[in-house]
Amino acid sequence: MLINTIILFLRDALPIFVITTILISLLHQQGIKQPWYAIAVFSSVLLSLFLLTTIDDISQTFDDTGREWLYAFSYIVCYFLSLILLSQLVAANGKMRPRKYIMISACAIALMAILMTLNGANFLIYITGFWYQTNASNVLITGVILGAGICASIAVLLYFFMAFFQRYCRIVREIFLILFSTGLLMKASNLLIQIDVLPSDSFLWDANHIIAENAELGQLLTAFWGYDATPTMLQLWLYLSAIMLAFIVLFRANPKLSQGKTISKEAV
Amino acid sequence: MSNFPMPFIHGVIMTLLIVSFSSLAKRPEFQLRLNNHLFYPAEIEIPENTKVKLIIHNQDNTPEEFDSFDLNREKVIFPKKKAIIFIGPLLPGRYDFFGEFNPNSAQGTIIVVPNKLAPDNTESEKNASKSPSNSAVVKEINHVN
Repeated sequence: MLINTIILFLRDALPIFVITTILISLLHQQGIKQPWYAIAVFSSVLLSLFLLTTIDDISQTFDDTGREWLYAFSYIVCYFLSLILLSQLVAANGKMRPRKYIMISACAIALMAILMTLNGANFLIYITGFWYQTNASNVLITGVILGAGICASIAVLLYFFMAFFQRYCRIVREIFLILFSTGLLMKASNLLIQIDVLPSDSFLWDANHIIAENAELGQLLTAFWGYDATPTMLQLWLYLSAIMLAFIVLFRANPKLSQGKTISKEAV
Repeated sequence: MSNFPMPFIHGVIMTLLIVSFSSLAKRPEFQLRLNNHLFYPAEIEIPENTKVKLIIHNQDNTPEEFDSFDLNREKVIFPKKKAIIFIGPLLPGRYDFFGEFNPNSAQGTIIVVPNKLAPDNTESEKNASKSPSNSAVVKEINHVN
């Protein structure tokens, strides 16, 4: 149960740590400090508990597909929130007006709160389901502590990796956010295929023999950019289109980016 | 409305059409039961190149998450509730699944067989709510042993 708790914690918490690191790094670069994060954490804790109590009923709606609808819709919203956030951040270019400041903070709070709520409720289902089993609580707490340690280590490494690579690629943080949010779209497409809303063709390929989805690296890539070892044609098309759209938004918001010019105070 | 370009509107209409046609189709149904953290039957045969509807009944008092890396599916099934998952179309072969909350005990396999060998699920569908089919009983015994 200990190993299982760690695996489940990593699956649900690692994406939260990753997006937190990317957002803190991006917003800090623009001179926006941390209060937005406290609001996101507080609201997502409340929303997770609310979702935990209602998810059972939500799941039974729409012919037992309510949970997939809710999660898929939320992931799609997160993708578009990321696009708005990116466009506002690069358009601001270090000159932060109050209206832009509020807009960027609101998008970051919404993005964080949605993801933390969905993933938090997922993990709480497991925790609350097994808490009262014999000796389970100690194992669950230990698993959560170990999992949090691993997630925190990866987050710190990611933060310094982005800071280091900024000298070679000025939009490394933006690229990470684009890949992460496109990964959310992949999750949404998987959920919609699962409930037969989107058509599912045969898999284009099976990359499990190269990077297995259930291996450590596979899980890491899934958390970072929605790695899928067995995509369908529709998913591949969706993934590439979403990345292309994000880059179009990025370069249209600040055409100087495509000329390799700076976007931040730090870089100036 | 005038704010939206025509290609965007066409895209939305096409998406809705794809969605409608896909979800209107009637799929063959297969039943699966989760009891004491074990899947019954542990093996299900489904026809190749066919999308099927898998209905999983969780008879335990704890939640379970149906998970399969082979099938690219995961779904939480709440205690005493059922969940629906669509799988396929698949090529013949074995596709493993497991309960993510109890991976050591809750394990099973979807066996995709060529169409000529595929079981007729009409009868098992009728009997699913009454008693498990013969093949299911045999597999249940094997499972427990």
